[in-house]
Amino acid sequence: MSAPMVETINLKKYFKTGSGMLHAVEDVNLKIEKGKTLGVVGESGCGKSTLGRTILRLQPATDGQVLYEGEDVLKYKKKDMKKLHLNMQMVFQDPFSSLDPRMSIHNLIAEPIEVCDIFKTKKEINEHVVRIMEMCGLPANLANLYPHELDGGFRQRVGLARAMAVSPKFIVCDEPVSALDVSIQAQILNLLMDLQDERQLSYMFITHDLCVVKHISNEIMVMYMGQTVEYAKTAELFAHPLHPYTQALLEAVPTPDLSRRNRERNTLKGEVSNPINPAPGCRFKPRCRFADKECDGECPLKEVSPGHLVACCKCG
Amino acid sequence: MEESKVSLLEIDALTVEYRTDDAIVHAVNDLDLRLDKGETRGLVGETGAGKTTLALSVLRLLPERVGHIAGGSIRYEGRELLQMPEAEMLALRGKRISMIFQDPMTSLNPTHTVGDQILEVLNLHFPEMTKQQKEAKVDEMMTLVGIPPSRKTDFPHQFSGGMKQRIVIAMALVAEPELLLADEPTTALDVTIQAQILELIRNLKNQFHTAVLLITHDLGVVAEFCDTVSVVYAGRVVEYGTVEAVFEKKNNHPYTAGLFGCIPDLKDDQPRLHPIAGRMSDPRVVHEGCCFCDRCDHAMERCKTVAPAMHVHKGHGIACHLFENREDF
Ligand SMILES: Nc1ncnc2c1ncn2[C@@H]1O[C@H](COP(=O)(O)OP(=O)(O)OP(=O)(O)O)[C@@H](O)[C@H]1O
Ligand SMILES: Nc1ncnc2c1ncn2[C@@H]1O[C@H](COP(=O)(O)OP(=O)(O)OP(=O)(O)O)[C@@H](O)[C@H]1O
Ligand SMILES: [Mg+2]
Ligand SMILES: [Mg+2]
Repeated sequence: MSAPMVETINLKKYFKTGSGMLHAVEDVNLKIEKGKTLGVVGESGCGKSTLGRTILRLQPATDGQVLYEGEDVLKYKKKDMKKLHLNMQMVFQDPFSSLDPRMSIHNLIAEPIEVCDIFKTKKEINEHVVRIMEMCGLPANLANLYPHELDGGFRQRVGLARAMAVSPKFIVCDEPVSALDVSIQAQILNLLMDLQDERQLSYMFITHDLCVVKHISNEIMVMYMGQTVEYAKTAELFAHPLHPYTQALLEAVPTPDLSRRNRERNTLKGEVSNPINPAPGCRFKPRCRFADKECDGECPLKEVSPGHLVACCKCG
Repeated sequence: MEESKVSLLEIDALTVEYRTDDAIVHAVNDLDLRLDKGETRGLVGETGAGKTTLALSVLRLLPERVGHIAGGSIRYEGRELLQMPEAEMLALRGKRISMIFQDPMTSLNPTHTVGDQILEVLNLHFPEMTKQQKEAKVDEMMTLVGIPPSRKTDFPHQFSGGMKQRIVIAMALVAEPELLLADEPTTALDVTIQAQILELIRNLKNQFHTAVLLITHDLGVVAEFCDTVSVVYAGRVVEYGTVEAVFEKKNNHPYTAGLFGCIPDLKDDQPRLHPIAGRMSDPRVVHEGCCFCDRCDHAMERCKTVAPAMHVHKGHGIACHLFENREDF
């Protein structure tokens, strides 16, 4: 078998802060095959965006490897970086601040094309921008507008168009649809899936929306405080969620019908998670209803059934 | 709507335009909305429907020169806000009316620590509190939104997207407002933290009788958390009612029905989602007839020329010709 499109090996990212070392990403191992999607879910602040940015070298890794078709991109020299940008791109979480407000839509989409020197002439670039806008569902008459004049749906499409402009093979999609209403969300998800089929793209898809992640992913990784706590094929994860955090997450999904109104809500209790100088042992322990002494020890990821990994000494 | 009693917030026939160099954008058109003390109303609708514009109009914070209130009225406790002197508006904003902005960086100053920014709100609204009391309150608020208080000396850029949003929520809630305008407050949050934040807003509501206008595109959040809901389309309310009436899914505006239809379901597997066909009409063009008719499966000849009236039955309003003369919804 050929190497996966993207793989990380014990990837770590720490931040120095005033109150100590912040463990944002801790020993993450993931694999994404060609044409497949890995969904990444987890608590707000657990390190999803940091993981994405570290894979794309938008910030330096603390330790570990990021392999693109078997090649360690963390070893790339400055001159190789263009290659990285051509292959790997990101759609950013925040459609407000990730677009330069002084650039027109046309120039925003032309910029990555120019940076990567794909086309020689202005004319070729312009034609390509028109094609990409069309592909991402952006009407041509928006080309001369500025980001603040667009609504959230179009702004998010511009972010997607910027990533697509250089025809990458791998895209980190950081909450690409969470700012959008359900109808536009469905359009963008369909667009992403069509582009994936057409071009055999691989995605790492970060989202809080479990319905969306279920719909779009082949596999899902659940993170808690920088660590992978569960990793499985999508259908398996939803059928047999094992980690208590995954279970709490699935339990909390609001449903658009009246069945759950006025019911008792069990929100997660216990101390808030703090990733600064975390204690050894299970990081979910302070909030876990099953926790006992055993959980102070190591709780590495274990394969409990083929392809289903979980980091919990109470399961499997 | 019931016209008899005075609501906390009453918006009538509000019309808002953005006048840009090359066009007039009709963002809000002839929109009515009521909100009572202690009520939580969900405001849902497509991106670009005018939800943020509506909230900004209430606070009179539309972008200068470009944004114009072209007509209508916004009354707060019976007083017209659109005529209120700026000095009085200033006193209302933040203290009695708080807003959680869609983009957290609108409210956060990148050069101040997050703790100082919450403290600032306390300094403004509770000058009688001692320094220790304020510090304790900052710690309490941070804990309530799920961030360790030890991180109050961090700056916004050291926080994740959802953590920034939670700081903004803490700033809005710590003022104990009477009216909370929450523009997509939980979109950047995972469902467990979302549940925690919604619980926090619920407690505020129970304690201070706060009225909440919750702008969201998550129909699940509306179903679990709101008392009433208004569905906006192209700057107009096309349906409103209690959550029970609207989510019964028996009688809905075709647009609302379409929204229900395009939610991916956790329970069954659809290979493809079903977005509502077409896109919202260009807000730069003034419409005759029903604003949704281009995308509506039930559109009739009349829909193209005659704008439908709001047909109301037992407090459930639907602006669609299909519901004319119907007494059964
Ligand atoms: N530049 C930075 N300096 C210091 N700490 C940072 C920095 N960037 C991120 N962090 C911290 O790293 C942790 C993970 O942040 P990250 O943005 O990756 O979270 P996330 O999972 O994407 O959350 P969200 O769902 O809210 O976007 C957080 O505790 C955050 O405060
Ligand atoms: N400053 C501006 N200049 C010109 N047009 C604007 C401006 N702000 C908003 N608009 C336009 O006004 C309309 C309503 O925008 P608004 O932001 O109120 O929508 P929304 O319902 O909040 O959408 P979203 O769900 O994306 O936040 C949109 O067509 C938008 O493009
Ligand atoms: Mg993030
Ligand atoms: Mg908005």
